[in-house]
Amino acid sequence: MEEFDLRSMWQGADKQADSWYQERQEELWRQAKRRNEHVLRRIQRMVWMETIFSVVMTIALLGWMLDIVDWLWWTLLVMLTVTIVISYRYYSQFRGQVDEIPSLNIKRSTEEFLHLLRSYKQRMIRLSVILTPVALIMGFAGGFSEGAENDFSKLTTWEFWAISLPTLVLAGVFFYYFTHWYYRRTFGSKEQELEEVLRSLSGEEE
Amino acid sequence: MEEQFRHIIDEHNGILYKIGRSYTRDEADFQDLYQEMLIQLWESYPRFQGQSKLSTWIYRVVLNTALTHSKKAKRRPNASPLEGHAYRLADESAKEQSEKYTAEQQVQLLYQCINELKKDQRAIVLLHLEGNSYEEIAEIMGVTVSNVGVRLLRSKKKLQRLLTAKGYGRV
Repeated sequence: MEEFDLRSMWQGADKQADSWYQERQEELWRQAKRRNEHVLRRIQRMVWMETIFSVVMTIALLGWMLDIVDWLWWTLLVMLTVTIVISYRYYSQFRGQVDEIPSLNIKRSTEEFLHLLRSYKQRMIRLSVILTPVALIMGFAGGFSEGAENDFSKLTTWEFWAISLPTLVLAGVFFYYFTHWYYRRTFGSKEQELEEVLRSLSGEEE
Repeated sequence: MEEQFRHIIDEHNGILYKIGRSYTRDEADFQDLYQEMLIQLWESYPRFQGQSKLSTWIYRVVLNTALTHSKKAKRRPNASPLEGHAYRLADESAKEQSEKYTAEQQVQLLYQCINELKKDQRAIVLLHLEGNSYEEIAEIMGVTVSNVGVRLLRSKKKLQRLLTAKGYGRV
């Protein structure tokens, strides 16, 4: 088959495209105002929701624990503020990269896209592993403070730690695997597809 | 700005349509991808500062969107396969109609075969069919100019094999 065959076939595609667009132009522009469902925009919205959720939870938690001992209240405030600052910083960086990626050349865009997916995965795993024990410790603190009227003496008993430590480890392990499973289910196939594209583009460069 | 953007899309709609058709297999998925490309272009437009040609920027955004598009077929178990969109011309004779029908079948066949290429091969073949030079293809893809030739030759051979296997010449 000669080159001009493909080109002449392709001219037919131009006519189809024009006709299709003329017929649906108004409908298309109406629909174009809907929400962007691109995978990176979905992640961006998730990160933003997580940040908002953290702020709301912090305010609610600190408000609820106003009458606990001062040192515990301030420790909680500092820990939660640091978490929110880190989350917001991550969100800002992420948003900047998401805006830039689509205009890059295919190879660089694919590299950057994969980098973002992987950094999001890392962040999810770190958060699940670090925040789960932190949340449990906060729960204990709240329990001793509210339930036992600021009696923290149990913290020094071996029975308390014999139950708490394995619970913390089990919770951490569970959330580690759960996060991996959730990531694979949500973004795993996309990551594999893009790795294949990048391998193909990079392989033939050598 | 919206008016200006609409004008750009009016002029370059063919790029969105053809790339959309080449990266999807059913009508609903095609419409999803087309919308996604339109939204992505609109959101990226304020950042376009004319450092590259307008068409180069459009190809980059549209191809990147197509490559990262997630099929939502699970939500639509009865999705209808893509069929050629019949275009109509006024006062067509029977002969013209028959020729048009053949041309539509050929385009349909070409889309089917392009769809079977690997994603990056599809991109390079489409850019070539659109009449881009090797330099322009290299700029859009992010590979070297010499590499474009090798890659294109390989992709076109595969496309030819697919077209022959699917009965090109009998349509």
